[in-house]
Amino acid sequence: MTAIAKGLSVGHISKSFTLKDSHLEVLSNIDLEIAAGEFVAIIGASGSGKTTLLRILAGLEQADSGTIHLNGQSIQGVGSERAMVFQEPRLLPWLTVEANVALGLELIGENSTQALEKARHYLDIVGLTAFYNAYPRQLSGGMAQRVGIARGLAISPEILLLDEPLGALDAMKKIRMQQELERIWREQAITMVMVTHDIEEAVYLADRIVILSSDQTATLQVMNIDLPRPRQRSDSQFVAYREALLKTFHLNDTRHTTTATESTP
Amino acid sequence: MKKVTTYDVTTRGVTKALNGNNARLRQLGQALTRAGNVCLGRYGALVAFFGLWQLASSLDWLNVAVIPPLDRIVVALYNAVLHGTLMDDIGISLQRSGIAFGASVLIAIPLGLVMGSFRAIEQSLDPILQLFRQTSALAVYPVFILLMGLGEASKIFVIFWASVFPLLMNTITGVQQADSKLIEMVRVFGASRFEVFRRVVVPSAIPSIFVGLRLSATSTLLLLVAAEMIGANRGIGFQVMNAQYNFQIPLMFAAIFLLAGLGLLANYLLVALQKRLCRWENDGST
Repeated sequence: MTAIAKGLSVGHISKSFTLKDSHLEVLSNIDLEIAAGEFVAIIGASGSGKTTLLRILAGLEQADSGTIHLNGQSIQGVGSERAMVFQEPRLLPWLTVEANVALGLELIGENSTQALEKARHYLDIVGLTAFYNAYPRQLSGGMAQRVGIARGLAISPEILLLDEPLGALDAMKKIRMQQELERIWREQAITMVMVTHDIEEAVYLADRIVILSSDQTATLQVMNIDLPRPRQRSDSQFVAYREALLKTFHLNDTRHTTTATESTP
Repeated sequence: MKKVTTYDVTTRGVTKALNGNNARLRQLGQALTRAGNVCLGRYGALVAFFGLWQLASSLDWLNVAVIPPLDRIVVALYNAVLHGTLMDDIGISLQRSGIAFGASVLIAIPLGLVMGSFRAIEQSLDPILQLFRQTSALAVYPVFILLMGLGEASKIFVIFWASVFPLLMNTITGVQQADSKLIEMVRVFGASRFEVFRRVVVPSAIPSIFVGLRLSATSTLLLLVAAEMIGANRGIGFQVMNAQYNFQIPLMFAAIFLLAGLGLLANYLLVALQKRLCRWENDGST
């Protein structure tokens, strides 16, 4: 494996957890290269370790073995070149929207006036100009998640790690936020690594999809999504990619549903 | 106080008749009747209680020597404040409770923040604190009197004893309730342990600390009265007992109402302070 000059390089990452007396291997020998500016989606069934992998990339968890390099430099722990957007917005309820975004900047050492200025700039980018001084409880789920994205973008990371950020949104909001996310990714020229369990979302957003299977195979499956943007969900090629992915998870087997209906008396 | 909407057909009819088709006046009228209804709903029982008291007492349904009418209590309060020693009593009572409550705040909040943050410290101090907490302050008052004499020190200490534990326990709980997901979020931005404490843990604990402050204020006043009844010659609690001994029953009730008023005032001030500090909890409900 040769580390690429610009981007993230994951080498032989393994991680296991010990729960009481059972030993659970979540990730074994994962290799992954992510180029600068790429949008990578990580999909997999629950328990496949996709969130664990993202948390290791963020520095929130430590791998048992393996290396992570960013632009050729070994990285350990958390760092401001990586930012994370969680599944829940995780906003501090006692701070206004702008103060929540400024918080991340202050924590990496910016002075508060500059932090506030930048916070407002990134709130403009995510379309929340009118909500600088709102409190989190006044926001809808989608708006709160935009604040989380702005908070991540504000520290100008090279990589934005997203852990099922749209998982809790309803179908309509989800589609709108996917479009927003793509726009932000394009405009900010940032690397995005997004964990999702939504196959359509992955096909819509990603340059490449990394598939983690739950049966601990050492190799990952990687699928390049070679479609022009913005992508059309009804496009035949789009549908073909989706079908191929469904097949990977054995989810397009129609017999499965038939059996289910038959078994009902 | 939450907004209460009432659909009272009669008041609506009356307002309409009064204001004709003037929409703004009608709105004002409706707002007034709504406010009136809210007041009646909230304070109706209280007004009825005092009304019944005054009526029962003036009509001799009750023994006036034991339950005097409210007007005589008000007059007694007025005279005691203007011509008697009641202002001094209020002063000394406020001083005792103020010092004790202040000491509780200064000790319980920092100690609670530390105990909540460091599991080892909390674990090692918890058994003895539980023992102290469950020991009635009144039961150990004689010990404090033996140790500190019958002066101010033992009184202030027994009030402190009763008020420090609710605040301490609630501060610890508040710290421990800090959302681990929020803590993780600030850690991603490289927050140090101290930053986590300052940015997440302390603000998270504030609502619980206020619960502690209000419980603590209640205990303070409770023990203030007890301490002043047992071994004092000044103070509002002393006046309650003293007035009873001297058959100055209206004065006794005046002192009781004064104590109730102090309790209400303390609670009101703490609630107002909490609303100011926790604006995010109340602002702009959608």
